[in-house]
Amino acid sequence: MALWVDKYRPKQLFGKDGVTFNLEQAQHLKYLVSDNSMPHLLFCGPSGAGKKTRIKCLLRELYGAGADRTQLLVKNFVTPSNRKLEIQTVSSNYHIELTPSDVGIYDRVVVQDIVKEMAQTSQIDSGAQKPFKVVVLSEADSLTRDAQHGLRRTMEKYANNCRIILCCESLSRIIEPLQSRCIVVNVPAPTENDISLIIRDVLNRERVEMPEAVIEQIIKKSERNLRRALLMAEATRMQNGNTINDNFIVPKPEWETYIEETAKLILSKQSSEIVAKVRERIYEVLSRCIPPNIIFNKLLEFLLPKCADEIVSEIVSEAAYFEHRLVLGQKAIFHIEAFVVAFMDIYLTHSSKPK
Amino acid sequence: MKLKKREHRRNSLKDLDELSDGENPIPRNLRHKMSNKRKIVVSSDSEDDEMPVKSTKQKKLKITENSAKKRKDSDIEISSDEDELVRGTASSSEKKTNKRKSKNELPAGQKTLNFFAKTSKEDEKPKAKTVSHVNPADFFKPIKTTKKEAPKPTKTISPSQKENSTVIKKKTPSPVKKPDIDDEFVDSDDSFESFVPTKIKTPEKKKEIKKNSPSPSPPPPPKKVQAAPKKVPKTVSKDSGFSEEPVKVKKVEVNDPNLPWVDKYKPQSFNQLVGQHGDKSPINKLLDWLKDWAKHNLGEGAKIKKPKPAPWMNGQDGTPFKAALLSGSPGIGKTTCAYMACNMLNFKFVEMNASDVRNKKHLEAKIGELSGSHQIEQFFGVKKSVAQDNLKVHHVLIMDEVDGMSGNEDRAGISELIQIIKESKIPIICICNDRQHTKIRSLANHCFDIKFPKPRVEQIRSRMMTICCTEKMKITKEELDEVIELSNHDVRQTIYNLQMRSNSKDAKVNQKDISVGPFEAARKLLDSRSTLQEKQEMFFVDYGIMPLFVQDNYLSMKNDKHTPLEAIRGLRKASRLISLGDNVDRIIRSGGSWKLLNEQSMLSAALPAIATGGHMKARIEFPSWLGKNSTAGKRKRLLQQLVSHTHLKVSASMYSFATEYAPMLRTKITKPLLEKESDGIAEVVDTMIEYDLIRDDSEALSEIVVWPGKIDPASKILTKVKSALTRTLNKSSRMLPYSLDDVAKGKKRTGVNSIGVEMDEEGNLVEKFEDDDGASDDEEGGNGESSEVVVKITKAGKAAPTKSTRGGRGGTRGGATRGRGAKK
Repeated sequence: MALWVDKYRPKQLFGKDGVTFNLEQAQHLKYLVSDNSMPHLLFCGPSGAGKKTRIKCLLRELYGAGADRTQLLVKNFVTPSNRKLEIQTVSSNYHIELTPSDVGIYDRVVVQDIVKEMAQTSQIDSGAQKPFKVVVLSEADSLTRDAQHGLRRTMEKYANNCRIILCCESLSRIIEPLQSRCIVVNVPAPTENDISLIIRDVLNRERVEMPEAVIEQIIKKSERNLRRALLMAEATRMQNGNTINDNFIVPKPEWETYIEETAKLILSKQSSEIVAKVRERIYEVLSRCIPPNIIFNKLLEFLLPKCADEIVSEIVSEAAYFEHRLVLGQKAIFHIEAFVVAFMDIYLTHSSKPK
Repeated sequence: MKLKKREHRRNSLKDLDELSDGENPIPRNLRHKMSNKRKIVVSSDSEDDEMPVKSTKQKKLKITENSAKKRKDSDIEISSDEDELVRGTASSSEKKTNKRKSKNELPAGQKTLNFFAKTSKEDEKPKAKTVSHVNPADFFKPIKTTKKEAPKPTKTISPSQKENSTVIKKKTPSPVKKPDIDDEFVDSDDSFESFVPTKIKTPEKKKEIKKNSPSPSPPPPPKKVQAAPKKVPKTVSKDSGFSEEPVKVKKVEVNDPNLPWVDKYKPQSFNQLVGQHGDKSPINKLLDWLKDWAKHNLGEGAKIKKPKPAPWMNGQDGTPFKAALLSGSPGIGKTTCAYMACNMLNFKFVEMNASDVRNKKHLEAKIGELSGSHQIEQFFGVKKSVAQDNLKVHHVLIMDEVDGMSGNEDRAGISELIQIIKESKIPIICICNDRQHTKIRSLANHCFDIKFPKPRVEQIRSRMMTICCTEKMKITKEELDEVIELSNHDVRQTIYNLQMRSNSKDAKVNQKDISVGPFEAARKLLDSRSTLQEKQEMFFVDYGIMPLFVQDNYLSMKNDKHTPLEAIRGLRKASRLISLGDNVDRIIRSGGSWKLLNEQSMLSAALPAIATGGHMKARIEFPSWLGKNSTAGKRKRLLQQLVSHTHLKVSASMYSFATEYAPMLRTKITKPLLEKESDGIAEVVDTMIEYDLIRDDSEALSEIVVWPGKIDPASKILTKVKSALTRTLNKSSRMLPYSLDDVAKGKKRTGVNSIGVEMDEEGNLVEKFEDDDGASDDEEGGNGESSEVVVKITKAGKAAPTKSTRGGRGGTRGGATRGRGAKK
């Protein structure tokens, strides 16, 4: 059986099964697709806000149930350097969905070859269907510059038989020309109230009782990420069965606990040995595919409460500085470690200052 | 040129001889000996030489002739008939020795001389006499003069000499018996005659004396005599034709000023070796191994099966091995040690070096016959009279420069060598430089691994000092150390450099060009004593890995004087630079702006090493980043696969899958099994089917989700439950929306067709399977479901695992694919 988060995913933009928050926006979307003039779209919003869900609903709105008949396909392509790569796509008759950033720096080739090829093929039976196909590119913000530039012309040239939907978390990493070619659909994270309503609804439908206090905890810990909230709720339910205590403490995800321990280690002592240990731990976290910027966020989150007010601003600025470098650089560990050492220095300087 | 020189020498010797006894530095009886020898040579050489006593002029002429002839002969020998030569010398000398034994009773102290006496009897006798009469110390002292005296006897001959010569003449017939080898014999004899005394007196001897001189009690003279002879067998074996040919020439012209010091001062005795004095020194290991070889590998000992130690223990105990592998950088005396060890144990040896063709065929032919001990006897021409003792080692095979066995010429040489080692009845000593070479590594598994470390400066220095003294060259200790350092602790190179220095006072010793490995480079880079420029240079040894080395090791740079705060501040500076360096690296690599490499060298390597303000306190670690990165890469691939498998149901990106879905999914598929054991299987299978997971995915899940220090709940699942789950999964027929990798591999071609789409009346994609076998077509299924997979394939038993339409947007194409798959 499916997890709650997938089981109760909204299927329509409107109606009984429709999305439950950002309703106004949903209406706009529905209007956009009502005739054949759907523009290129750029969905942006934090993780767990419902971007993909909305895209799916949109596609369903456009093409009906046919859009649900999807299959996984592997597309092969050859890079200019003669490397054979493949990329996985999800496609139906009407749309294709792919994540070009899966192939790293070769995403440009994906855009040039595969997307263009998609765009060039027009629908045969134009009468019965919409005259265009849709290409959904997820994680568009991790597209390289080159790939984004490669999209520019394609978006214009083949606009009549292909529409592109970009899905990203941060708009800032999408180049201006692309933004200007799309209608930007901002999907904000649901408010705590929204989440609370949804969780209660799901619990109702699952016929599970959960104490208020626990629901509150879940909402707090989910950080307005609906996906996480629902998964946490289900995890809580799985761990405790139907009888959930009032004082049950919803556990943090393990990786978060691990980073928290790391932060404690940093605070415990400031020396090169500790740096070496921290490095080891950061390697562990990184190797489990936790994105480095989340590591930054979490570390900061756990470190700051222990710091005196005077040094907070300096620490945050250091963190920002190295996070920026992280984006520009290649090896995440270098920058995280630089931040850790910088923090140690600031912290130690402060604590060793005579009061 | 050389002839002239010889002549000239003789002339000068003539003069010497003419000196009165008081003036002549050489003892009279010694002079006799020399003259005798000369005579013998002359007499045996030319048929018409009836009267040795002739006018000096005539004599001289003849000698030049002779020497010319000899030279020719020796040349020929070298190029061709080595075997013959060996046989000649060996057999004749043996005969002689036997004869002599019966005739001459030597004093007890000189018995040791017997074994080297094999060379030539004529040498022997006078020498023995000399020893008995003359204080050996006196004998050795006037090195150069005595050397020159060797040919002196050509001169006017005193009555006593005459007597002597006639006595010896009687004995000479033995070599003459074999006229065919006469020349050769004489030649070798001649060379001996001229070199034996010099040998004894070669500068090392002097050195020895010098070494001894500071010590309160110089060793007793007889001992020295014993030490000296030891060298002789070595030359014998060398002359026997299998070793390098230059040896012979060298011996003849020891006093040739053009002779490189390297050859001139080649270690002749155990204590002249550099860096081999410790109990555990490589040569001692080698000696012990050689000594015990017969015990362990022949006769009874061979029947005891000796377990081979693990590869990294190869250097500890040599007993299980039939071969030894000497490895070490060039110029530190591996080959010399091997020779010396054989000589010390009185083994004869056969050497094959890179100048010989050593391909499989050749090795097989040449060595295969040698390694059986009987055949090798024939080869050496040793008479069967010596009772053949199969439990003793008589010969050693030295394979020099085994790492040079490569290319087309020596194809399969190593494997053949290994084969030979396995079957060998004689010890084999292999010598190589690069122990880590892939080819050598396979060989090393079959060898007693003896590593020659680079000698330290002090060890080289003492020996160099002796050489300098002998050559009367003035050099300070510091200068000498510098020369040694610049030669990179290469003894041979150091001696060459010294010689060059002696020739021209201010000849600059160039640093030996050494290839610096990444480790050495990193060490130097992180060394607080090296300059910024040096650090930068080291960065360019390998600009790809140096930043990683620095990053991995800068934490170990510490300064005891630093307070914790200062220390961390230094680290902060360094890490900041490293982080910036990484950005530069990215720009270089992504934009191809290699001109920034200089900047990177500073930011990533040179400056951080300085910024910490500390010294390297630990050993250099290999960058862990590489390993971690590959782990991360592997997990990322696993995750990617998971994401793609669940892609139809899960909308999360890879990262949010890792942080959110993965832990939950894992609980979902492990918890029921833990709690309800076999009853939970249905539930788990349900989940797995829903998310299109396969068995491998659950393993991938637990690998990604388990954190160090936490117990993987999946490990607690009972084995029987696990296997029951696997069975159930295998039994359940289900369609996967993706292709499995093992199936996919053979089917890459199918991606080509993307247009052959069949539409049904609803405009939906239909998959029509056209099984050649006429197997039932799969039905398009589950219209009612909200989102379902169109491609439906049942499992066709175990042999044909789930297939799918990889790349088959074209339904028919996909069907064909499946048809093929099912038939397999």
